[in-house]
Amino acid sequence: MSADGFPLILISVSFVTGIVGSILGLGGGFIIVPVLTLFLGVPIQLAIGASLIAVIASSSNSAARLLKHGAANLRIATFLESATTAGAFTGVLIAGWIEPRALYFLFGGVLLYSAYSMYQLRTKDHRTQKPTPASTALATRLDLHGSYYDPQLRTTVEYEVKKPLLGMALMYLAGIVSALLGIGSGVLKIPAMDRVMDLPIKVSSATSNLMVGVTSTASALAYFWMGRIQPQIAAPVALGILGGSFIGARLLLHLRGEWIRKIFIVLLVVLGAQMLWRGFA
Amino acid sequence: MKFRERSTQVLSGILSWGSKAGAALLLAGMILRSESLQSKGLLVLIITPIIRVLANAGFLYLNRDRAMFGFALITLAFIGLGLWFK
Repeated sequence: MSADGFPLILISVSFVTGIVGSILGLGGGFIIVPVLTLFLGVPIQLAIGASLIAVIASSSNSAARLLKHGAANLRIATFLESATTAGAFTGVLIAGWIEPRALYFLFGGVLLYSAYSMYQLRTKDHRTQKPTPASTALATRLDLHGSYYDPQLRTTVEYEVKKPLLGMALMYLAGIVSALLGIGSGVLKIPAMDRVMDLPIKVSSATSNLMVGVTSTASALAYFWMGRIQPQIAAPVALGILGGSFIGARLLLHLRGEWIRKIFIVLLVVLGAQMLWRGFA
Repeated sequence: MKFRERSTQVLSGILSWGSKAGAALLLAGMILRSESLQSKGLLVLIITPIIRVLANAGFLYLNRDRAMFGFALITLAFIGLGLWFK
């Protein structure tokens, strides 16, 4: 592979990752790291550094559009970001004490459980049940409920936020995992918002897009100052991701929620199996 | 237009322009083969979400939304603590 062609390959791969990551609200870090290390021979530390940049770039680009459109709920993001950053700080504190092998098992198990719980949602519409006042009292006080216009359904979808404190606790855990594994942890945030807080999948995905940038930014700054973010790798990756997320954010609003959920379930199973495999290996 | 809608537009603008400015610097750096420009582009991309959280905190303060302002402050405090600890 010629040195001149390498940035183009990085841009192309990242472009596709940006589309997928933006549609799913994941940032794409979980795809770009294996691709860079396994297929393009980039050292894992540099791949993680580039991945963090990719997560932030993708998040900023698509969140700008989703925020303006109303699909991303800024108040929910503000509420939950306090928990994810607290979790990320805890993750930094405990990072040295945890066996990496245990992390792979833990992460793999969490992903497979998330896939299972999201699969269950396909057969029963959990939103047909009216949330009890007790589970929405805090959300009402903080004015977290919202609405957005769904171009695919051609109607304004109104939603109420359930169990905000439980959602916050799960975001704290997502923050810990994010710091320990160097990912945006959208794979944990979206099921928590969808399953526990009862948000529509598009709102979960869009709000996750908005949040993953903040969760990753502190780690990225530290990586940057430590010299673990190489511009030759991170720059084409970020450019490709930005282009891809530009397309992905537009696609997200026009895709059917059920399709997003199906793609997400498959990805969770693949990633969960991959994590468990790494734990055994 | 309501204050909340206006502030959302500003925050959306910060994210949009931050990512565009970062991308422009990265592209210019790649074309000119300048590592310095590329590094600046990466830094712009990294700090864009922090500026968004800061601006959001400012809007919440101006809107006297104490509870949400508190959550935004907690976020900023933990980002700062994480950086300091590393």
